[in-house]
Amino acid sequence: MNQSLQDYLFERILNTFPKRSAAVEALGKLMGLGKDAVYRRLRGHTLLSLDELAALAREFKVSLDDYLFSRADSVVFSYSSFSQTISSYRDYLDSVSRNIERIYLLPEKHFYYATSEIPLFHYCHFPEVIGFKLYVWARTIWSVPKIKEQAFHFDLLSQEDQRITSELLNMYNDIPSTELWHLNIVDNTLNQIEYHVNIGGFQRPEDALVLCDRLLELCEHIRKMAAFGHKYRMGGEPQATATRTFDLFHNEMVFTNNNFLAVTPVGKVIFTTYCNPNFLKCTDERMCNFTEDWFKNITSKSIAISNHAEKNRSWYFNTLHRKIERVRTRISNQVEEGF
Amino acid sequence: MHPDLQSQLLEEIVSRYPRKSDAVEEISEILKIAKDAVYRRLRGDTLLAPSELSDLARAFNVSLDALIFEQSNTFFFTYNAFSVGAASFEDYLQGFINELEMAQQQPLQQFYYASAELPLFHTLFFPELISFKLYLWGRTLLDFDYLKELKFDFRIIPPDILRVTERMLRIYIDLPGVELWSPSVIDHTLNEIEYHISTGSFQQPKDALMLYDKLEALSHHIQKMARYGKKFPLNADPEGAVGGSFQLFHNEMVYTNNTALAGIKEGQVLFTTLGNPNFMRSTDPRICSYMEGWFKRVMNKSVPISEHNERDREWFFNRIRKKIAFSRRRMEVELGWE
Repeated sequence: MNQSLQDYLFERILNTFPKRSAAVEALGKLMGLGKDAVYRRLRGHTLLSLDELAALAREFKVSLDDYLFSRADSVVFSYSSFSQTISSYRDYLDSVSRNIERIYLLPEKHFYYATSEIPLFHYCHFPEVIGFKLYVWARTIWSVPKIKEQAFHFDLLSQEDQRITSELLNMYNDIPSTELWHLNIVDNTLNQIEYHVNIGGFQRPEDALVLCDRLLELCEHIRKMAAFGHKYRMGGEPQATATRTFDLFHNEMVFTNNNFLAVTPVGKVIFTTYCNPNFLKCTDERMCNFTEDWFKNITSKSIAISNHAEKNRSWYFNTLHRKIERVRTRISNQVEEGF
Repeated sequence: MHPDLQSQLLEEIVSRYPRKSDAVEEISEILKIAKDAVYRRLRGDTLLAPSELSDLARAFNVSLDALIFEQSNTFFFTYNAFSVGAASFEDYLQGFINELEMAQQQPLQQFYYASAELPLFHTLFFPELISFKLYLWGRTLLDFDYLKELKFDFRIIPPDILRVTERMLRIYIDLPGVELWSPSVIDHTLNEIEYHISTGSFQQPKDALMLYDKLEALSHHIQKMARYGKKFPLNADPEGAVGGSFQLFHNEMVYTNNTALAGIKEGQVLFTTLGNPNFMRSTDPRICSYMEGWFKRVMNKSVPISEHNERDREWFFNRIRKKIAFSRRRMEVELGWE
């Protein structure tokens, strides 16, 4: 290996700048050095101290292991759970809002979403449903102490939390999206509702039936949005604007994690759920392009169910409807028996 | 304030030796400097040069990324689609074998696997099933041009590739494993069969029905392994067979990606699918340890269906078989064979 570690690091850093002079300026600022001193380090006439080396790798997110072990396949991710411990619903909602707002404020953005579970934003149509999902995650994934000890009830979601979820929904509705959904899109939520009925996890067991009713209403609303080809709020007036397009596909063939790609004029970003609903985030250009191609590939093998595709849409949503009704009937019997 | 990289690296190296003097001797040989000079570096009186840093990290196989990014939310995955390029099935499968062999060398470690679809390893029990999976991945996701125009038949995957899958199966059987399966674990494979029937992608449509037979036989075999709490080959005597333990849980509550966690020489290694069937890999101790905690939390909320709990096990596998039978009936109607 002829290239030194220092040369390798600088090469990776310089590649992130359009012009060498811009890189020199940024490096000088970061290291508190004049331009001459930066150039001496770039030429290898002055060696970097290890602290400088570590600081630069950290700042520019360069993997030194790629150099050491001759790897070319590393991708840098950041993990929401490491940057912030979730100790309340608000912590999680704020972190999602921050990420979505950055995209929302840009012009000409587009979301691609491949998922086996209804995307979080749709749950925000109903405080009861998003409240239940947050409760489940707080109990099982984040282990939030004050939630772990309580049975579920609708008042656990505060007014302020509801305001944030409502804003999240507004932002999401204003970003055109292409979504690839599996047929088992409601299964996990239905399993969670039944699980909580079985363990006595509802303060009022009848609330489980309210959740099933809300899911039915939600599916009906999503069916209407798909038919119209645009997103809008429940009970609101649909508007055919370019910023609100909603292209929904039934992906029956390719198993996917919950993957989300945002394409914007300033770059692309991937979010993939990991220990759902926590997420990994990646802005690596190669990874984003690979994922965009993957989306196009899967979309070409999926069935369009928005706009004109009435037959496929009806079959898809009727199937979801039947799944929810079946679970509702089972829960209703349990509630009547005083289970 | 980030700890000093030089002292972190040298502490890591010294901790691997029973005596400090042994470490000093080894470092002096690698850097080709006298022992006094090594001690000066250990005390921080002399700073390591970047080239010395890389020589030591490489010689002792220490991840500098783990030291540098320890206190941030950033970590690195490697992505198999970028490393091997998966130009052939051999490439793709060899990636699995390499990883499994590393895990196999750590006999006391558990191989954790959480999945929302039938884990690849179980399809290895039947050449027909793994052939079908490889065909559709090769055609749709690994993008092998030669498969795009070919319809599926059982001879499409050559015998030498099937021998590689047999080797994978033998290693998998040896590994002690904990698996968390969601209720929809079979749905995806059934969807794939139905999709290929609907698009006329079977050379002989009766082969699709053979896949249903194999899936049903597989469900019985996995149920048997769960009953005995151990893995063994098809048709083996469960009492006498030598295989890793098999703890199966029905995870009905927590949505999961396809995720595996295994012990290796360097600690633990984590895999998760992204752009299925491609996968990401990380040995970062922070994410591995986080995931081990996650596995344990989800196990707590799941129903154990191996060894004891016969009633739950019967219910779980009967439900899988009902789904297979239901899909089969639907497809027989589609093929006009009913």
